[in-house]
Amino acid sequence: MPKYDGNVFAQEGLLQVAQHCAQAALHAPQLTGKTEIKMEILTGEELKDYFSIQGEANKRGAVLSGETYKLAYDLGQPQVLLLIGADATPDVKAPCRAACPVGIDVPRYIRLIGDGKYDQAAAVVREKLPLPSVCARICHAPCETRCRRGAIRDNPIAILALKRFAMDAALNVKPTVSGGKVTGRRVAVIGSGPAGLTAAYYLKRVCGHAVTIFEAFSEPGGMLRMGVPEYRLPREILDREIDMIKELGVEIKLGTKIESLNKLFQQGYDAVFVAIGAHRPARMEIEGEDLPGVIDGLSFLRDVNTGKGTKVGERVAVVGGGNAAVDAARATLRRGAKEVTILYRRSMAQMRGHRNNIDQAQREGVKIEVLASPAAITRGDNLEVKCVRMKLGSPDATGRPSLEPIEGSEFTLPVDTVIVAIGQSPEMPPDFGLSLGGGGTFRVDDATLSTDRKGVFAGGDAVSGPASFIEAVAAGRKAASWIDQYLGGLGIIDEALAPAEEMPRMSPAKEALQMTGDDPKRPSMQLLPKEQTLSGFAEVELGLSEQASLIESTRCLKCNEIGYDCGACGFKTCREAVINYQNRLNETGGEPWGWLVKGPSCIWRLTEFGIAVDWAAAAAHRHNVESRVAMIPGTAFMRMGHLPDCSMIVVVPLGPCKERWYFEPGSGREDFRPFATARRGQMLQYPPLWIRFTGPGRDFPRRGMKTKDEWWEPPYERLEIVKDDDWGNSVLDRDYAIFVAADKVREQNKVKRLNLPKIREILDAKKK
Amino acid sequence: MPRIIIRDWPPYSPTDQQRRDNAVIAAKLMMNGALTAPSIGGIPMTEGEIVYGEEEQEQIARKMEELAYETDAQRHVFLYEAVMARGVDVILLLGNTRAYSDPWDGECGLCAGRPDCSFVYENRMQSTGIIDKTDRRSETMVKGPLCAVYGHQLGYNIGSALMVATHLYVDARPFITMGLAAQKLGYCRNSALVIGIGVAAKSKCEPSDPALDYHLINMERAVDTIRGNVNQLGVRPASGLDYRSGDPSEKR
Repeated sequence: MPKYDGNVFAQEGLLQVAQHCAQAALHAPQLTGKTEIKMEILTGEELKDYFSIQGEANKRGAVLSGETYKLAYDLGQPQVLLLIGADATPDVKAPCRAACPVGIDVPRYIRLIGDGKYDQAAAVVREKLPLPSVCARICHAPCETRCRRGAIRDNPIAILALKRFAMDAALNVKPTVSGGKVTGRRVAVIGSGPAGLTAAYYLKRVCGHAVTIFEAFSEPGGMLRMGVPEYRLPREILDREIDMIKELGVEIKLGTKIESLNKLFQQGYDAVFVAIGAHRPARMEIEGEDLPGVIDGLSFLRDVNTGKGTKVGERVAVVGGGNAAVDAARATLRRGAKEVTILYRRSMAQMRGHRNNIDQAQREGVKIEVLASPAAITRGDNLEVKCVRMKLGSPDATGRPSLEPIEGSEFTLPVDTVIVAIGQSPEMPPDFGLSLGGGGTFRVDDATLSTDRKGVFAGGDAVSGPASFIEAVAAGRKAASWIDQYLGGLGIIDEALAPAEEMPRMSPAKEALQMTGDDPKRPSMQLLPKEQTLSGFAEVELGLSEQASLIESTRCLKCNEIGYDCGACGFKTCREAVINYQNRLNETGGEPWGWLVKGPSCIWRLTEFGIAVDWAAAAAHRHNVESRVAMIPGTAFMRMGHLPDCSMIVVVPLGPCKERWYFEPGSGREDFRPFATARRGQMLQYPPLWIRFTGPGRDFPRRGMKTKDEWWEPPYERLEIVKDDDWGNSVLDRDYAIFVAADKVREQNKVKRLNLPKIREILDAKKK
Repeated sequence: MPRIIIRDWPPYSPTDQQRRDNAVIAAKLMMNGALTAPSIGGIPMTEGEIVYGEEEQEQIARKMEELAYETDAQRHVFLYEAVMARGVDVILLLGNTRAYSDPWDGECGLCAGRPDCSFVYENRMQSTGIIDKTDRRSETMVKGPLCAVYGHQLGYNIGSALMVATHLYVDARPFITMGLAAQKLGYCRNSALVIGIGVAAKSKCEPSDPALDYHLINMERAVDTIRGNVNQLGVRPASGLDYRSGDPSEKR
């Protein structure tokens, strides 16, 4: 049994209590069912950051309320802190938006489509990625998987098709060219795939660095151009979006393979982003893999996409279940194959190819043989693929079902060509000298994407292995942010491209719905007629009509709103509140900072959050541990970057945590004598009440009241009553000082930095 | 003449009444829990009211049903929860008396206004910082903007009340809709923000897993429907000879 050893033993016990408190908060009853509670437990060294902020708050207190702040920030001497946070803004993070790796505000652009504001809807998409039209065609749409409409025994909203409609409708709208910020720093990006293009866009446009992309192939786009056939991604779409990036001033050097990072640094580049993708095909390691007629899927697709004439036979077997396999199969049909069979060792549910890609492959005549694994390839007159049937077992470490061959189930498939598309891995040039992880991928710091070499970052498929387009874009965004920080910037890449939203006067979506008069159903994508699909590489998906898009937008359940339209927050409808919140988000460039916490708030979500906080504090009391609920210290943690998605954080300190009052022994204010105050007829109140002498409603000076009592003076030089405007301005200055201190902590802890210039600008604008 | 109300169903029997009385005791203790919850600034601002009785609960439930048809998105929530307002043993209402007229003034920005609470003040009739509470006109269900921090504070009060309920092993659940309806009816009249907590001591806590279309398919309606169609259950009338002449269920 551990013995009581002063703080150590107490701390261990308190940590356990904190976990009980966290459990209580998690299981607290809900009011709206839409408030997600997030928590963090801090102890020991982790508390030091807080006390540094507290010191800053005290040092630079506002003219009037400095002492108040000192008190409000005082947590006593707790040993463990439980931070409880929630996003209580009226804009609930809808599941679709949460599922998107780059966080595109899906409900917002669906709402704007319904209002007939297609340009604005497109701008909302463009706020999060520089390749929106590409995304609208090839994204695997994790948003649709999480759509709540799909969870109520209905089909999910056709989010991808709506995005495609908005982007097509706003085809001619170009984002403005960068604001001309120039830092003089140079960044080399190796690879012009989605990760490289995204990083280059943000590094140039938002951060102001000079960016050069080095591309080994003769055309830019990486896997978008080499791996995705034209019938899914027309080249004019890809070229147009790449051209937009070039117009910003990003230089793309084609046909330039980088073999050494040293040379780049010698050329004067300050940082390098390695986004070389994964282009080395994986092998099946079975007999006959090197026979003539057996080709790898990636090479085949590259040849198809660059117009080279790789010939295939009439009967083709494609091995694999990802998009490369499905695309290879569809491309062979367009190259004259008559019978194409995909061999996949697991079941249809485990195929990694996108659902609509698989559906269209089947529509075009591709057969899919699931639970069939090639065991050998032989060559007689023709090629023969010997396969064995598989059965699914219990899930393995990756969560996918394990595989067991079924004895005696072997069968043979006679073919002319075999295409192997079972995956790829990155191929690092030997002189790069970077550490590799599993599967030949680059090893990076997960938080910053930095490699073990200073100034070198890596991301995309080169780090994750073959992944989706949108995950590569997310990696590009993350890399841009951290490269900017490495180069001395703040790493802020958020853009506000959509204009301030207004409440619509009319709803084209509702009008369209009234015309049809039916319960809307998920629309089917218009497709190129089947007979035309195989005669060339024309785009197969033709998009939704305007009418269908408007009607589809009405199926959105608006999960981002609480939906009572109660008016408690001050706005008449939830939608109005959401619009107000999002306009503020735009106004602040992605940082919706209030003064201490982030508003506006949905009152019911705050109440719901309060229940959870109370249950945490109550759980501490059930364990006979001293605790309280502290709101203002939570604001400091929020600024330091804890629980980043929360609009409000409340601290439940555990351990000795009584706040000290002015006049208590040890407070340094012992000379404050409440009795003397009382004699003067002043009421002794809780300190925040002192500041009630100012503010628009507290216009005592205007009422001719004396605003500076002599009894204030001796111990409280700074605690004087001042004019309303001065007081408000000093609060703003103090707030900024706390932001600066918090940003230092963020920098140390490698979390997203605060946009200090923007915050300064906002605070200055609010000064009277 | 006072109203004399007679119904033969559903029963409000003496045994029901005993259980409800016990639930009222629980609700009273929950109210104490609410009053001792952590309080922002240590300022008293909690208001509570306990509502029980067939007529009173029916009144709140009907108001909830009325509000249901004033909203689109949450209609089913109002309708479902109106059933629960009828079904619980007692409703504990908790409100915050300061959210409307005396904002926190903590420089917080939680409501998105300036640090001097001007978002609240500018939307009120007020003089020298004293808000006119007599203006109760409102286009919305709640007369906002309310002080957001005090909305959060109400959560502490409700949380403590619910924590007491867990200690007393009574079923309790907070409802926005009950609070909205009760406040409209004049309960917790000093509070702009009211939450209703349904408290019940029954073997089945129905609100935990309501059926689809709960306002139509719930225990009370189901039982009542069966009563109306008792013959469909295979209940045969004891026809023929008088049952005193022999047991009619015996085969002949």
